[in-house]
Amino acid sequence: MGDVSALATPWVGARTGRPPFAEAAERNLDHVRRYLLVFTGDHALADDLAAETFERAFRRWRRYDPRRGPELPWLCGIARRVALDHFRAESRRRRREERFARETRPEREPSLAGLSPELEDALRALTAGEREVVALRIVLDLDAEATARLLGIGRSACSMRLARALDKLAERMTADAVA
Amino acid sequence: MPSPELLAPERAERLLAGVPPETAREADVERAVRELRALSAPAPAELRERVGRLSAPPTPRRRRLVPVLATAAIVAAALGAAALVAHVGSGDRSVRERAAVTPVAGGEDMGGSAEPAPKAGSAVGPASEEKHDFWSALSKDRRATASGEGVVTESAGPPDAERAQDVDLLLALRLDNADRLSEAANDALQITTDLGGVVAASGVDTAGREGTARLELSIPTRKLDEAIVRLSALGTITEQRIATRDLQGGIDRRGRRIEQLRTAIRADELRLASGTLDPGEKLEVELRLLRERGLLRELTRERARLLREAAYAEVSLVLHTREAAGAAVEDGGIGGAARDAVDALGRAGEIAVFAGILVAPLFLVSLVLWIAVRARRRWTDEQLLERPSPAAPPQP
Repeated sequence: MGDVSALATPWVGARTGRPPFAEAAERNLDHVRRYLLVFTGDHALADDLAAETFERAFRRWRRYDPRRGPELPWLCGIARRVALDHFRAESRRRRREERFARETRPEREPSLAGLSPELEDALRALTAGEREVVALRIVLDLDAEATARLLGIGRSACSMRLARALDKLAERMTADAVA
Repeated sequence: MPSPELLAPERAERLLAGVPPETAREADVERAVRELRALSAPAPAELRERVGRLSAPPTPRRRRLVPVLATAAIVAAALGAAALVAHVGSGDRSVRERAAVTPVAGGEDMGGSAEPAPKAGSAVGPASEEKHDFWSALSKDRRATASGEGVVTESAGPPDAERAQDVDLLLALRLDNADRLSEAANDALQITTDLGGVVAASGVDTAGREGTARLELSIPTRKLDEAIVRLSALGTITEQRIATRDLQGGIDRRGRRIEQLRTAIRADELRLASGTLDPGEKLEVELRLLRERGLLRELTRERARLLREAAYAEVSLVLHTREAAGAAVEDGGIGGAARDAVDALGRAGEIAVFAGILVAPLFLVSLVLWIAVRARRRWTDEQLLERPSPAAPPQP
């Protein structure tokens, strides 16, 4: 945990109250990674995207204004954009290689450590958008307002998406338990 | 069909807030929430180290300088372009003026020759190449010849109709706009023709609503009063000057000398015809006759030249619009510098408007494209988020 603080950058946005980037990174790295982990369902990918997220955040750190909100939603916004860019690029790549991909058996995705198999399977059955709202509202415990703003949707739409995701999770978990 | 146990959004929010579950489905939800909140996935050391390496601060000053430098470069380029346009514009104007003032062949009635109108060579040249040096050139010319041919006088009044005079008239008129200026120039040409005169040179320079025209006219002196009246009616007089040089004395002297020579020639011819001269005297008379006849021809030519000069008045007609009045009357000085500055600013404004007209459609197209790209990106994001595995290609 101490690596990040040891390499902390000295510059601070004194007038805006912006903390040093290294401090913010240390404070939020685990949260952002958890968000990306639930969003993607892939440890390695979550690590790569988290690294890219913080690199991008580092370049844009001067644009961050603490008066407009906490660091975590701002970082999650960047992480979301990074993840979507990755998904888009990966989708294009895989579409080009579709024939090869059909002939190749999909690899078993690594499990999300710390979750029960039922919940993990239920999570994988959700759409990426539903997983995303679960990650933000439940795993990171962001409020509905911040989550809706981050996702670029209305608050009621955000609550509805969350309810649908939880409903599907519960239904799937119940089905697995019965099975 | 929705399940009867479907979780309502309000209920989901309450469960997240810690309200106890009331149904089995809610209990499952509560369990999933608890498990997810307990998810611990600390970043591996490798990732932590990678993020920790982001220690070097970016170069914010350079980033801030970019828009400042870009703005300064655009402003400098605009000012430079304006100055260049103003300089080229003024250069073009003077070149146009020089090129436009071209001699016009005089008519047969000007003395039976097809050469340019009388005195056109001395008056038109300087007037066309040096703006408004007409009068100083005229004065020099007059001083050079004053010892032999009378005195130059300048006045704003009409010449003396009783005496033969070389008359030079400068008449400056102001017109409302360039269209009216062109019409007035044509009217002036028509008036000149009506009065039996000729146009020695003409030049018209218009730009937008402004412009100037310079006409060098040769008008019969006896009709000069009428010419002044008719030409003055074309616009508002801003300047009128008349310079006269008395030619009557020279004409009279030559006339008297011609009469004397004719008398002497007649006498010598009679002496030759009498047959009373010896060969030596006869030769002497014949030689004298030759000299007298040559002198008579020369004096007759000079007198005719003076009469022609007196017969036609040189009229420099300057037509100008309101804004061009300053340039037509005077160049240089503080006023000229102020006019140049205003001109340059005006041209800079024209360039700015032109640039705006040019850039506005590009800006609008760019804005529409940007909005379209954003909308498409948002749509593809939604499509990706609708799939359990966004990275996988969409199933048909």
